[in-house]
Amino acid sequence: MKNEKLFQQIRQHAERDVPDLTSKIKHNERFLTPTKRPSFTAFFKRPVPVFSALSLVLVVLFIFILTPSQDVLATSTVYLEINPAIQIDLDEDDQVLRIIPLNEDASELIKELNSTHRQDVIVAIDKIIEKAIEKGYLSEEHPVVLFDILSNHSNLVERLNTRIQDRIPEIAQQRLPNLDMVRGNAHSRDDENNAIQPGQRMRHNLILTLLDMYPDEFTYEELSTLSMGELRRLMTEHNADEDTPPNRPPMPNRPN
Amino acid sequence: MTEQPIQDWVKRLKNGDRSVFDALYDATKTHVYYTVLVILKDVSLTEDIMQDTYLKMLENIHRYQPKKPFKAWLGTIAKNLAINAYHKQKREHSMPEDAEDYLLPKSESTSEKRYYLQELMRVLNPEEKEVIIRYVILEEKHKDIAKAMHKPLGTITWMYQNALKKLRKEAGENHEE
Repeated sequence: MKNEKLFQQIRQHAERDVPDLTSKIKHNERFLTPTKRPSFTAFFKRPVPVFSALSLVLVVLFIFILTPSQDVLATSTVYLEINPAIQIDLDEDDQVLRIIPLNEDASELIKELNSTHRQDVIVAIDKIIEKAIEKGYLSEEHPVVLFDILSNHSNLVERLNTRIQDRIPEIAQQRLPNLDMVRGNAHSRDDENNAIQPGQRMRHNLILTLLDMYPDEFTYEELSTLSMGELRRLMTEHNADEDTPPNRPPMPNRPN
Repeated sequence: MTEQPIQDWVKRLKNGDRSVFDALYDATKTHVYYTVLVILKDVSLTEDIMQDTYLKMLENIHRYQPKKPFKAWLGTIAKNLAINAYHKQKREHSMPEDAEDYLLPKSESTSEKRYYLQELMRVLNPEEKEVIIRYVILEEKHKDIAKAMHKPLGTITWMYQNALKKLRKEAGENHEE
């Protein structure tokens, strides 16, 4: 016997054995009750699902809308070195996306800073300089502000460099009249300078500035053994004695 | 039975037309009955659950989405009710280990009815019967049968072949493969 013929026989027998329950079902009161269509408003009469749905919506709103995203990519970055070292990430309109402390002093300073999110970079730098003066990081003895700009686009680099070069000395001198040591560099991210890491580039720029000041006194190798604090001190000493011809200042004592 | 007339009846049921119930019952009763029977292995209890399945289907017909075959949707309702009944039964009374005659009713009152499938499959043991019912009537695949019966696929295939041989022999036409 072919399988299909056998299967057909089984199916016929199986069907014959199934009881006819239609009469029983039709006499059941559940059969006679008309089917209720789902009501949209019925959902809102149930407090638990409504409360759960509302809570979920609020959580999603809090996460995605109210909390500023940390993942927004910066178009430009400004590194400020006042002694606290600070990274300021900017969007394409030079507005602050986030401020990142690069050392402990910077963390302390940023904690006390009012919100700068979505403010213009110049406003943010003004606030940082004000706070740095208040906390004693910038003073008559330490009047040095260094900056470094890195951007995705060369036209943005130029614009930021011009704005910062023009405005920072002006802002800083309003608060600290002796402050005239504002030095900076600007690069596009495509520059070959990008071979140097951002933190290192600030140090590299400081060494180059010092080599300009003391062309016969130091070599790059000598200065590169000094810490950022020691490099800043050399620069401060030069600034305090600018009218006299530069002499080689004593090298800071370094532990062996 | 093709799906199209079933879909038409379901559409009418959704609109409150209960006159199509008999036709829909007739087209789906075998699938529902044996879906429940292979779980409960008790004809009387299966009839109760089958009745409950159709009433629940009527109450929830507005939830049915035509993307899924209606028989499969109805089968899911039946299976869930049968599993609940099985657990309830297990809690309240111990389920019989030996379900040799599960194609026959336990109740005396219905014993007058002739059970054709039991006669045809009397040469099979309960597990072989279940394999044949699932494969031939419920049109389940061997791997799904293996999963449902918690047995390796090879065992199910072997049981299926064995059952076929017995059935052919019983039918008096035992051909060499």
